[in-house]
Amino acid sequence: MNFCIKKHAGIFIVTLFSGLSLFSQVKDTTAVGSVKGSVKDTALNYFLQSASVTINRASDGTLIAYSMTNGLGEFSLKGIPTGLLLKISVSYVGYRTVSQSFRIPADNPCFNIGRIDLVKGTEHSEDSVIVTPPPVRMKGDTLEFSAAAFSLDKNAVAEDLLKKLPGVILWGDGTITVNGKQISKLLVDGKPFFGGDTKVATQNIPKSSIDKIQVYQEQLNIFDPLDSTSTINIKLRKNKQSGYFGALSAGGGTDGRYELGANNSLFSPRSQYALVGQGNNINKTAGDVGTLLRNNTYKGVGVRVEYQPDFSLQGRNQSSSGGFLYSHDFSPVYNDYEKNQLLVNSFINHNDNITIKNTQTVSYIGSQSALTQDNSDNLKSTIETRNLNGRYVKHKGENTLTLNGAYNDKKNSIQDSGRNEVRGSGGALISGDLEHDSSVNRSHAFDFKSSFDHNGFSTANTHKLTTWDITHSISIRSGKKDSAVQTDFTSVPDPLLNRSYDRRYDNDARTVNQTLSMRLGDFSSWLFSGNRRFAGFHIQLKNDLSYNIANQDNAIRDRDPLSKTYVINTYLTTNSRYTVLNEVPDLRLGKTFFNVLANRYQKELSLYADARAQLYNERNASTHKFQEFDNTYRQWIPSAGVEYTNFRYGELLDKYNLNFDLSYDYPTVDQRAALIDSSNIYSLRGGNLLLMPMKKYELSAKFRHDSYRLKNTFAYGAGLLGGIRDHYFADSAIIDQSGRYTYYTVNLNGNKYLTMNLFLNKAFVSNSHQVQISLISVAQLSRTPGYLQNAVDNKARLNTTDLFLNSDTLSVYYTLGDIFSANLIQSISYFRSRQKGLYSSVFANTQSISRLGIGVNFTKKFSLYSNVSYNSSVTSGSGAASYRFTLWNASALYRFLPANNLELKVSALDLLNQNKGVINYGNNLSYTHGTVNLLHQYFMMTLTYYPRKFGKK
Amino acid sequence: MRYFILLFLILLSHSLWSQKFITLRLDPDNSRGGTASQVFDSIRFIPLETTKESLFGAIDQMEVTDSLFVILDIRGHSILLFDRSGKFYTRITTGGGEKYFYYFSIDRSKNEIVATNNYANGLLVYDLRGRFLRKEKCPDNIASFYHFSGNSVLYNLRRKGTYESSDHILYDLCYSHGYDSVVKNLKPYNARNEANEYNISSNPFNFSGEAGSCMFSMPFEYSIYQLADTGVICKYQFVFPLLHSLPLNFATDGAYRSLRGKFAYNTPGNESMITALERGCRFGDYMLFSAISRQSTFSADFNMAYNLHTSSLISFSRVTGDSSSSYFPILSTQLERVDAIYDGKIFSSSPGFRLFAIKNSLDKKVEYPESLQKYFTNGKKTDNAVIVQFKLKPGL
Repeated sequence: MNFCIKKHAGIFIVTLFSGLSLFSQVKDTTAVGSVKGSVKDTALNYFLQSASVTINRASDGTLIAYSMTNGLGEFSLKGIPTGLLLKISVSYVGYRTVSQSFRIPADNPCFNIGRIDLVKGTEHSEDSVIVTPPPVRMKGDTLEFSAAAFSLDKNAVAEDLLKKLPGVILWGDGTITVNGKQISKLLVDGKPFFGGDTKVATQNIPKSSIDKIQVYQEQLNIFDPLDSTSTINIKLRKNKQSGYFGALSAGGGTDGRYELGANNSLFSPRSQYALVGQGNNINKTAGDVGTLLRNNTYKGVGVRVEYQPDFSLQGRNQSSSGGFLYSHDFSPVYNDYEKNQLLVNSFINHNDNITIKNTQTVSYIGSQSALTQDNSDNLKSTIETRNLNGRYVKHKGENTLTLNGAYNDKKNSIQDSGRNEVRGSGGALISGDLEHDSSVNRSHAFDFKSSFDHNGFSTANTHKLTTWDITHSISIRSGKKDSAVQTDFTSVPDPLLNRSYDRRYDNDARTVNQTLSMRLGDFSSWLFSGNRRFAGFHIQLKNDLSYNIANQDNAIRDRDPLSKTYVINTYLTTNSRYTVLNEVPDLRLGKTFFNVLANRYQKELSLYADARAQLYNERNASTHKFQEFDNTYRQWIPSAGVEYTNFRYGELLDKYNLNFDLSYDYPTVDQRAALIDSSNIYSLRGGNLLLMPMKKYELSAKFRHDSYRLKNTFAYGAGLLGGIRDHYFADSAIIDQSGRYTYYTVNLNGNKYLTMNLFLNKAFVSNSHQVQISLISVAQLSRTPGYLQNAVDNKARLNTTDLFLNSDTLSVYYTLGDIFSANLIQSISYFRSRQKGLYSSVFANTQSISRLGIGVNFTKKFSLYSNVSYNSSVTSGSGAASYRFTLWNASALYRFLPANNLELKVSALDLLNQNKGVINYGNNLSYTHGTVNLLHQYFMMTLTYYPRKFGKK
Repeated sequence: MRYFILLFLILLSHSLWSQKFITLRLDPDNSRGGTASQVFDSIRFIPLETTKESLFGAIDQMEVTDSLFVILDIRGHSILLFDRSGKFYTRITTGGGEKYFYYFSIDRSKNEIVATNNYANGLLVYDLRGRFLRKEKCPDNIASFYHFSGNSVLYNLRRKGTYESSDHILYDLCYSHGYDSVVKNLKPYNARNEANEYNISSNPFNFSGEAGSCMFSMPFEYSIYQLADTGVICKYQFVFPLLHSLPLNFATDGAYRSLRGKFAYNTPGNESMITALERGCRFGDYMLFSAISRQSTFSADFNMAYNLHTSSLISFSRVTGDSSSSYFPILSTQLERVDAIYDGKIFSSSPGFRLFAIKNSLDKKVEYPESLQKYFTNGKKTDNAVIVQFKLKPGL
């Protein structure tokens, strides 16, 4: 049923571009007249549609207005100054550009310039001088904007040019829309720029390097009007297709604060290299090369700052990191039909942290009894990570080969000393301990994934399998942990329980995980083509096979007080090998019903069901026989769902989805057969070999509405996810008289959960005002069963915890042209935990953050930024407490040098010096509150130089 | 000797008369345009009534009688009948679901509507009031057909999607006495080299505009055949510039076997290639046709008219509307095609959303004819299409 659909593709493109007849025009403040006329090819006797018409001031060539002819070959431009000598230029692809001078008489401001005739030829003017290309022209399906026709400040970048283009809007949150439709990608010379982040391109590339900006639709499937993407391509001038740009910065401030950064990026037509590095002790963390590139652009990031000091990060942090990015195209072609590209990036991060924490945890262990645990902790850690990633894609026609490789290396050194004191309901001391831990953890990980996709071209008459893909991934990890733990535990009620531990750990783990996945389908056109009864059916085969091996070698030694040497602990020292084989074959059957009224709507209802099975085998071999097990499970894990789509041409797209899923979770080795390490004084965990797999029934419902009206976009949606887990892995907790907990995992029914979310995005634009509103709301409910046995009566009782979480965030972004931007965020989170069973108690906490960020660009060189956030946390129920503080950061920036590439920034952070390290959280059986050290008020001055060169000259 | 020469001339003229071969060399890039009043005559707009019963999707095929517009809406599972003033008369439906009508023809001698379908194992016959009369047996795999007078039917047979392993000769066309008695096959093809790799967006049969004949064309070929009940009476062979042409012998050369669809519809760089000629029909001295390619802009050359006398080519996307057409373009895009020729008039159509969009974008004051005034006042852009009836001026 393909023959009608080609029409719809054309209509969709029409709808997208029809809005472009409303071109914005450059207004001259003295404009009082209008010009109209028509453009014709007299030789072929036809009026030219979409011919470019430009009006410039004759004396200096300043652009006054521009437009394109309509379906009748006519144009009309308003706001044109009268009495001034002007030049009108008309151009069309394949024709000679015609220019003529004219003046709008003051006594006849509605000027009809008449018919302008074009003749076929090259686009030189009649006097053979190459004219400036028109600001806009239609070339086939592509709309082209010529950068030379728009005069901007000499230091303008691509972003400034994009803002001038009619129909193109750069929103406060970084998205770019063309006539209301979000672009899927922004390319430079047809390829992604430094990993594809739009800001790296739009905020670095100077407008003077740009030849033109192209806007076009890519129709990936000519038979589906919904399957099309909008793309913006920045075409560089011929001699500007290579260059470099970067940022070098150094800053120092009060309290020994510093920050250093160096980024440099080089590009050429086929290759791109970036080298980045930074060091600071102001909690600015970056996880990858992209974050550093994105946040060190020449234009600057404005109000929405992503890479900035994180005042909520615990402890004092000093970090340095660096990396590189390299991409190379083996073929000159890069598009949706063909590409051959290698992308490599590497990142190293070193972070030193000192955290000093003091907390108090209250746990309810009965209707009248509670335990209070005071903890003070001094933690010093050094984390070093290194990673190297590579990605190779070769796509030609129907086949795509993708290879991904990643290597990660992490070293983590920790030194921790702490003290715990546990008191009973009356406040009397029950027990206490002193701990010193030090550990060095080294891990290496290697991941490699290869996949091959075949997407064949098919019509109603294709009788073969046209779509299939196969993916293999392997991940090899090894980790070594050397640690030493010294603990002295004292029990008040029973001094016989006093213990001292001086234990050394040498843990070695190696895992190899492999997965092989296949997707074959759709088989129905192959099997049932032409048979009316089976029309609309889908049949797909999938298979996922994984095999995981985990080897663990642990050597634990305890210090012998007599010999003063470390002696093997034969209980804890063990070698084990854990393997899991998971095979999931899946047959998906589906049927789609269509209800189409050509040019009005397209409604689709799809029903599908997965006949899916699981073969799960887990095996553990260990030096301790009691830890060994070999279990095989054969499960039936079906899934079924309904999807409904309602597409109204040029109006809206509604999607509804309902899905039911049955699956199993399997216990881990530690849940089944843990070795109890008694040096974890207050929290011991034992195993349960009788554990059965947990069975999960889950239902999800989703809805999304997108409005396709031009310019002002509107989208909203909601989702619901709920489920029941039978044989839930619940905690069975036993509390002894010294306040020590021993946990076992048991199967219990009665776990339920429900998550609801909704979102809403609305955008308005009017002249230079832009407003974006977004609302996100999430609510979670859960009921968790467990057993609790306390030392009061030694009886195990069923205890149920009901949790309710709700988080709502409203954000508003407002920008006024290039001058002013503001960002207001209000977020409220509510948490409530209610216990039922052994005792009843409620713990509730409300946190609210109100944040206002403002940025003002007073001149092209001077800007001010300020953001204030008011934080409040109120706890009700047992242990009521409230914390409130205001965090205010402000900075002033000034640019020097004619090229504006030297920046001085003066910042004041936490101006009111109110930042508090507050700890406040609760869970099933307890809640914790306390304080932690973190970043406080400081002032800093930073100098940044932006070296840049585009092209050879 | 004289008699011999006379006989030879008679035989020669007879053979020329029985099958003509005309080569048309056309360059769409240099086709001419004009204004509506220069090109069209007697333009009339006939909105089709929109009610809950009469709302339909698109005009996939239309035939005109003295009193009716008969319209096929394939995805709407219906054949609709409107009177010549646009008032809804009745609807013939398949019953919905996965049952479709694909094509119909009017037997004008019996005043019957005959429809192909995918569920009844035969042709379904209705009268002009939309009442079901009977089912007729017919050959398998009918794509479309045409009624000649004298109980003669010409069928276009659907090609299979799979290839034969040997050089099996099959036929695209066959004549039948009545509906189920094939007497002659036409237009052979080698099943090893050619199969069904195209997506037809329109039907290959049409009225020719000349009594007693019809026009037929296949995708990937640049030929339009004019057929009478005796066979091919004229073959129009189109030749386009290289930029717009598929490779030589694209349709018949076995080297392109199983690659044609992808080459024509999904290979970048081939967007300007004309992949099919559709809706070919004669209107006086003109050969009207649609040139199918992947160019989807509104200004792309699509519907054209070639003057067989003057060799001049008009592209209707270059004909701008004026006051004679209420500033609406006619035949200018894929959305407005030649739907039928009847009684010396050409019938096309325009979807509602297009008319409303053009009307709203005009900054002129336009005097609309009464039928359109009512349409714009009482209707909305989702209403049924509007029929446009007109003639072409001679000597363009």
